[in-house]
Amino acid sequence: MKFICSRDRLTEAISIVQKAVSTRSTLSILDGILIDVTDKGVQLTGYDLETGIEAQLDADALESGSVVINSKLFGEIVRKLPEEEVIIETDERLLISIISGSSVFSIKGLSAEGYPKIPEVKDAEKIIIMQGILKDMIRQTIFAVSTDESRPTLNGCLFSCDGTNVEMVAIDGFRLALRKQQMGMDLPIMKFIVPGKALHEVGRILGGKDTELIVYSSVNHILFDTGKVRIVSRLIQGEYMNYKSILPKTGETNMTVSPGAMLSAIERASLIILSEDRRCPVQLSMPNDETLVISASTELGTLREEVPVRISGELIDIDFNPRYFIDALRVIDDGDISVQFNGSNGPCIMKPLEEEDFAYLVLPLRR
Amino acid sequence: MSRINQLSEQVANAIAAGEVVERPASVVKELIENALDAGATSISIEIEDGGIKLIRVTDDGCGMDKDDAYKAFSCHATSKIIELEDLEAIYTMGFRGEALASIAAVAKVELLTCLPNQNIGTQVRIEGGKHIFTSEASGVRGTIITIRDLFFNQPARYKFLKKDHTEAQYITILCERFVLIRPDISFKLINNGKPILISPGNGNSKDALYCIYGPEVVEQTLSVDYKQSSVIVRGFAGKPAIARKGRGEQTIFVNDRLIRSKTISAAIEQAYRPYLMKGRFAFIVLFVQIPSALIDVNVHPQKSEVRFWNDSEVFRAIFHALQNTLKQSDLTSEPGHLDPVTSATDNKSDSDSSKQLGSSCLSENVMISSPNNESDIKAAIDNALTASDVDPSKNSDIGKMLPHELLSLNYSQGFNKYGKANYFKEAPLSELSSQTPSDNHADRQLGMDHVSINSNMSFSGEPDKDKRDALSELLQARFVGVLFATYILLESNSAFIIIDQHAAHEKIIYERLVDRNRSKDYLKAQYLITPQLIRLSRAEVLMVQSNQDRLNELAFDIDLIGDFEITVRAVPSFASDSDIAVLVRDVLQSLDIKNNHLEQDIYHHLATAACKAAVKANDLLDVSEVQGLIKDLTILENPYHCPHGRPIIVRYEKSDIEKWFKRIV
Repeated sequence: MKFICSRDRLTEAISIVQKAVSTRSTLSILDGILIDVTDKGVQLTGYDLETGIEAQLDADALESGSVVINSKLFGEIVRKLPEEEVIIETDERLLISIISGSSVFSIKGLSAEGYPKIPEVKDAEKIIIMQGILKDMIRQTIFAVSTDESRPTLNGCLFSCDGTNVEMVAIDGFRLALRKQQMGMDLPIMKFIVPGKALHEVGRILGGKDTELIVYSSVNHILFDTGKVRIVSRLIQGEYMNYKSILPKTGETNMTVSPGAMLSAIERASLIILSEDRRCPVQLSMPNDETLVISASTELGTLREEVPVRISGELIDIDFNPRYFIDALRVIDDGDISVQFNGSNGPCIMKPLEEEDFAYLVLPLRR
Repeated sequence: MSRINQLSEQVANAIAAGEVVERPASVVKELIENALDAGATSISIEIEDGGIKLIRVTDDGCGMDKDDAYKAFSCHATSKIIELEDLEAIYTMGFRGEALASIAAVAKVELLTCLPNQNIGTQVRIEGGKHIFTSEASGVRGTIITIRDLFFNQPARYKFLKKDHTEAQYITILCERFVLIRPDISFKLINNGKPILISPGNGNSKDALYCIYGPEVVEQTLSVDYKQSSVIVRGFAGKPAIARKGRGEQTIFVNDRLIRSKTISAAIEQAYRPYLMKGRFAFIVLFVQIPSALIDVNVHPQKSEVRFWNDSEVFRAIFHALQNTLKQSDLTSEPGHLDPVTSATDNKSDSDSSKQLGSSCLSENVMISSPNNESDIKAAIDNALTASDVDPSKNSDIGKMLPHELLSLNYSQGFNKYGKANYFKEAPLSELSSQTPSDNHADRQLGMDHVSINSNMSFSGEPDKDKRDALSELLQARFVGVLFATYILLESNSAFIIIDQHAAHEKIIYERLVDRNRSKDYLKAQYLITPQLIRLSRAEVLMVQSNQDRLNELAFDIDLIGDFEITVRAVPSFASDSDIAVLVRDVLQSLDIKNNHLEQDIYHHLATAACKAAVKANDLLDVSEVQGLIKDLTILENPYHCPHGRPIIVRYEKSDIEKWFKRIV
């Protein structure tokens, strides 16, 4: 095996696949990156048996072959190489030479035969989606993915397509984030739960708005293919929570507000709520139908701030965890939104004024 | 041929003896209990060779007539119960009617008894369960029972006896416990002809405590007297300074019966938690009175375990009794006491000699270490800190006005020579706020002043006088300097006070955090997006049912669905990351042992947070910072121990220091 490539390109590819390399595996081969040189090109692979990432590398493939090299070591070596041009080759004893300028590393490699195969996503349905859109959808929902491992289905986002729309939903037990995007006609019907970790990595590698990405899915796996990078993930099996029944159709209180204004007021309120002290609430109250008062009171002091709004229905006075509002309001890009409240125990939902592009639902704190 | 034999009474008693008579101490226990039940006011116990050769218990009780004296040895013979209903309200010590028969089955027993105002008594002799003779005998009021050659016919059990002195020790411990329960009875324990324990029998518990533990311990204990509904708690709570490494010195009597109880141990532990380091256990002698209908003592033949009708009430009563007592007391650490564990058994040492022993031990520490290097000095101080003790009696000395040049001179020279201590010249009170240049000796002084810390603060609440005196002394003490940038040195009229700045600050922050968390806003219930169904055991569901209010207070919102299921609608907001089912089960479990684990977890987090936020050792504090620290410290409920139980304040009497330098001998 032998190839020549650019140090910077190699570093970039390594850092992408490293995300899927397990750091503390009992199988030492899983700590490694698989380097595969064929006549088609050079490919790096990282795989922790749940998420696998393959990255194509622009390189001159001189001699076919494959080898596994320790991921951490490989990454650090390549980053510190003296020259831009890097030559990598192996001998029959799996000794890997990494040559750049006058520096020559010889590193022991492992045989590629022991490296687990990333499952092929066969007989797959596929959807073509713009990278920028998917990136936004992930950003706008992933914060609500639960980390509570006792409810595994909530450890991922529900990714579904009804033929025309693609929808992503995340729920962590106290809040819900939903994002919907119209994609076109006659798309395959699909519904599956993608682990939060894989989505996180997908979100990082997605780039240009105008480049396409193909999503393939089979019963057990999903594949995101940008052409250069392919991310394969196991799907979470199980029945996702029936979130549609949770989303109230109408609210007892309807408020129209600029998300930016509300966000910055709540962020200011959380300045006096100590970061380690997640218990202190932010209080939302409505003295009249044109004012939302955001206030917080801790032993550090208090904040009271008025945000201009338009309200119809009951006036409310409810405590919330400010974190949940901040997470949601931060990822809303559009203009004014509608915020609906349902009494002091019921859910609060943030939606666009007209469309149904997104919905963020948070539950209040009991007084 | 029939294989099943009806055992003879003799064999049956020998078997039963295995349960009642385990070792000489259990014989002594049964006999003392009998004597007490007979209304004795003075009981003498004589043992030889650890009680194996001889146990003789002499009482001045009501005695027995001839018939009773013989009947007493038959199985299930008791004067204490006649019918089953009597079991409901047992006030006497023994009641199963097994004791004498069992003892007689495994030893040579001689009973000499005489009814009051009669001249002729009865003598009964039984050996290994065999009746040897009954005869008339001359007698004085009461009963003398002599047990010889215990287990002479039971070689297996005989083999398992410990060495004589160990068995004697068991008997001593046992007698001590009787002394504690019955201060109104005069006990006398004679081992191989030597009296080793004599109690006055004057009805004063403190005197009883004194004759067992000696003056050191008596000085270091606080009296407990508390009543909560039907539970009365009296006794003695050791100050943290005489805490032990095990629960061995926790003596608990319920209705005058020595028992072990997890509930009570847990209550003690929790009450002392803010005062003790991990792995230390308080010295406790408690007498708990509970209406006998509310406990079941008939659980175990040795009656060492009881069941409470209402565990949580007992827990609360004990907890509050101890907490109140501790809160109201001055618990300043005082270095140089002998380790009370070692001194406790020394009954003969009188108050003065042991105090002297204490201070001479300390002075040696300091003398040895002071001349040469700093690490030795530090080690000596550390030693003194860890070996620290509390002494309430000394606070009465506050009024004594004594000069303090000794301390200043010797310490300034001693320490400054090594450049570590900051000593500052005394400033007149009028120059309180001005910065006075420091003493010439302080060649590496760090820019601090010698000021007096005055305060016009008033105390919140009504602390006990002891504590108030100690704290006002602290407030009025003059600030001398900081040692090793860690220990604040203060001087009062009669004492030299050292405060660990980190521990002090940590405690202040901790209390603040705890206060904040006690306020109602602290536990907020976060509603769940959908109620979560949790399957529990039937017992757990019942727990939920009976603790709905408590769970509500802890910011849960739980509905009962069926015998095995609940739905959770809201959980405490700080716990929103945890697995809800696990959380609920944990909380139920902690409710079960009446000991709020959840709150404890929170307090543990707080202690850690406080530790991180507090000034560290080696952080240089400004004078005003020191003043602030001491002010804040004095308003705390427990300014004496940091959240981890280490002492904050250590106090040397001026007279102790004078003794080091042999100014007074």
